[in-house]
Amino acid sequence: MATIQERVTRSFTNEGISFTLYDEDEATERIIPIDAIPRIVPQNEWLTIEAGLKQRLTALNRFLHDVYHDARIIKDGVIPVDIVKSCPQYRLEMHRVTTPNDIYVGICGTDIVRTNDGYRVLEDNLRVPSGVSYMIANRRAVKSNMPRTFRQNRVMEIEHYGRYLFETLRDLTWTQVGEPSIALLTPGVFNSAFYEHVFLAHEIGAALVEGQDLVVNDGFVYMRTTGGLKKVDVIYRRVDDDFIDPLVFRRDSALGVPGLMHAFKLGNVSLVNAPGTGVADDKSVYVYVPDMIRYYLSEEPILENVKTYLCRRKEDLEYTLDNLDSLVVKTVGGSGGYGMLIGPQATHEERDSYARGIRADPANFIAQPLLQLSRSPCWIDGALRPRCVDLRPFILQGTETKIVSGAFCRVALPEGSYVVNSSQGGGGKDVWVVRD
Amino acid sequence: MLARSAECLYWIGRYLERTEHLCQLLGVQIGALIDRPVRELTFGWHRIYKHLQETPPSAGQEDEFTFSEDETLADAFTLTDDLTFEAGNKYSIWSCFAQSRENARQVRHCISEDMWSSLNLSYLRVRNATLADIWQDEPELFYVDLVRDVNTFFGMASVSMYRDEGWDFLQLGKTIEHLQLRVNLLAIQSQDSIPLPSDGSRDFEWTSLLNAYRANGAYQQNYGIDINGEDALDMLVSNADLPNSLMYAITRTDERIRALDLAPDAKSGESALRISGRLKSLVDHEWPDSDDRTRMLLLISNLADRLHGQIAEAWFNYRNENAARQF
Repeated sequence: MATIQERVTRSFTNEGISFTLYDEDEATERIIPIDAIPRIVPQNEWLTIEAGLKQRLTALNRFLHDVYHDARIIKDGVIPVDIVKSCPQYRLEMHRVTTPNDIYVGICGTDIVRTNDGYRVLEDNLRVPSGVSYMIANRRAVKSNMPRTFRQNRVMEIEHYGRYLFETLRDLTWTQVGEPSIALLTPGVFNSAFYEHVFLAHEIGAALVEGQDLVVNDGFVYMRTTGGLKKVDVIYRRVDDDFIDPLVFRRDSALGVPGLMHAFKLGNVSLVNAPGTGVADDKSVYVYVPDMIRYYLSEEPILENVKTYLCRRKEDLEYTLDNLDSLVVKTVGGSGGYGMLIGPQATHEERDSYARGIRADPANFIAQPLLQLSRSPCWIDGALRPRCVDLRPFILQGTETKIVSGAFCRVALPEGSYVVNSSQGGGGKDVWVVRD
Repeated sequence: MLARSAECLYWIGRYLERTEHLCQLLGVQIGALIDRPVRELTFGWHRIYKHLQETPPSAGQEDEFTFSEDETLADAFTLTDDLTFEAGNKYSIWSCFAQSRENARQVRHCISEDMWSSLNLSYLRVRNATLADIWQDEPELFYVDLVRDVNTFFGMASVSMYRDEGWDFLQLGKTIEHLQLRVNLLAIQSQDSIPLPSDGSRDFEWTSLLNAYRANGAYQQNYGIDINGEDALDMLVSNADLPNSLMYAITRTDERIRALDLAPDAKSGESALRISGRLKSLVDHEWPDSDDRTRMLLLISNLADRLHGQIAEAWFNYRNENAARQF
């Protein structure tokens, strides 16, 4: 096992499969740690996860269309208006804007954890979810270093993700015929997920563009090529809403394209995911996703949420403040594992300080019980050791909803850690969905 | 192809060609430390720094190199470190590898996995090395290995890269860099601007250059065993069959430019074609009868610089309003 682990790690180093960490002074390119022991998911469990994820994304897209049009779900009292309207990711600019097939989220990466009660959805990532390149890189490294084991276990393939992604982006162009001109918009080489942007551009044959490579003329978007300006049909954007168009969102953005939103609203270019999707993965809105499923699909949720307390509700606020030592508290707009309080691991002073923050702005916080995350065996320091893991499958929705049978499994590598984020010492491992 | 991606490929070609060029010169220079007289070593360091238009470290004034054996050896370590590992020196081998890798990182989707892995491994090897480590053994072998790494990269490119514009720009960068560095080197050498002790023979300067360019065999085939500066210069400029000659680089550059599609900035594209043609004509027709060879080399150098500028204007940094639109 040590030899396999060493080979797998070396292959990541040689191939430069990296992400970028930032501190105050500099950006450091780091090789993402990979554990060679795959996480096993039986096919029957996977089929439930898959059905639940498809159901969830369908409801979320219906919600996004609704909330930017007639807002029936609010008028019918299913979701409080203040939860939606106070969300910073709710974009007035998207009001009455339609998208091809009414799909706002074409690419979703949902975080799932396995608890004592089964699989639970921890978070929907509906803006610019990342990690899929590591899912495929993990698979390639592990498969090539333990081919016999891989073959014997009848593991389901994932490497057609690129084709699925291409088909989804084609579905989300307005014409939906022929070979679309696709551009993947990246913030640039200093972005922490730049490796993934390059990887995906290669997988789908897209041009990897930065804002400076695009120009809007007469309501159409063009990219600067060596043959002149070439029209772009669909942009898979990996730039946050705030930065995509300085004429509409942040004026100081140098990452975006002036006039992009105008071209988008005219229906001359598709943006995947559409701007404004963040309103549906806000941590306050998350609480209502099961209700969305019931409201739009008249179905019961296949995958349940993690029990969540909204501090904007008086009773939830009191419960949270009374039980800080057993809860995990997060800001509603936070990500990457930063800025959260893990109550059982925090000191008395840290909890007091956090409580003051909650009291000052309750609507900015949610709380969840500390989950007993499932652990998976990892090869660490020459021995098998248990570590907390989660699962991030990627769901694609165009004219149909597609998922490859696998996921990016994030691992909290430091002993006793519950934080799986790559930026905080997390690593990854391959996920083997094994046929029954 | 995206203009910025094409530019990255162009610069990968340039930086790796620069790396190879410097490794060849340093390999010869360090090999000479074993048994060559101090005046030759001093000349060699001058030549490297002058043609790069860089100032050597600790050289507060011209001709600071002394002619004491001990001091020269001490300088050799410092100078080699500056030209190999100094991140602040934009011409150092480390800088060239880091820059070529950084450009490659941005266009990984345009190059093959083999090309990327080859470049990344070389980069990691240089990053993890120190001069103190390589100095203890046979330092010239370090440069031989790096030249091999660069050749491996271009070999990988030749067998795995689709022959589209990306290939053309990679090769174009390589040949332009080749042309600029070598013409500057030959111009410096032919100017007699590098001081030599009065008792010094100038033969060795051409011998070492032919060594660096692996052109000794070709020279012997054409001119015999005695090294003559005029003949060596003539061969390194105008011999179309010698891969390290200016004529070879000019011909390849011209082929690459003509293979490209019409430039978005047509005016600059046409200018690039005219300059390329002028360079060919200069070496083909004017060089043989030229009395002032230094002036000719400076003219070639100037045209090569302008050619680079026109290529950038024509294909990479053109103004949007000048560009044709494709639908």
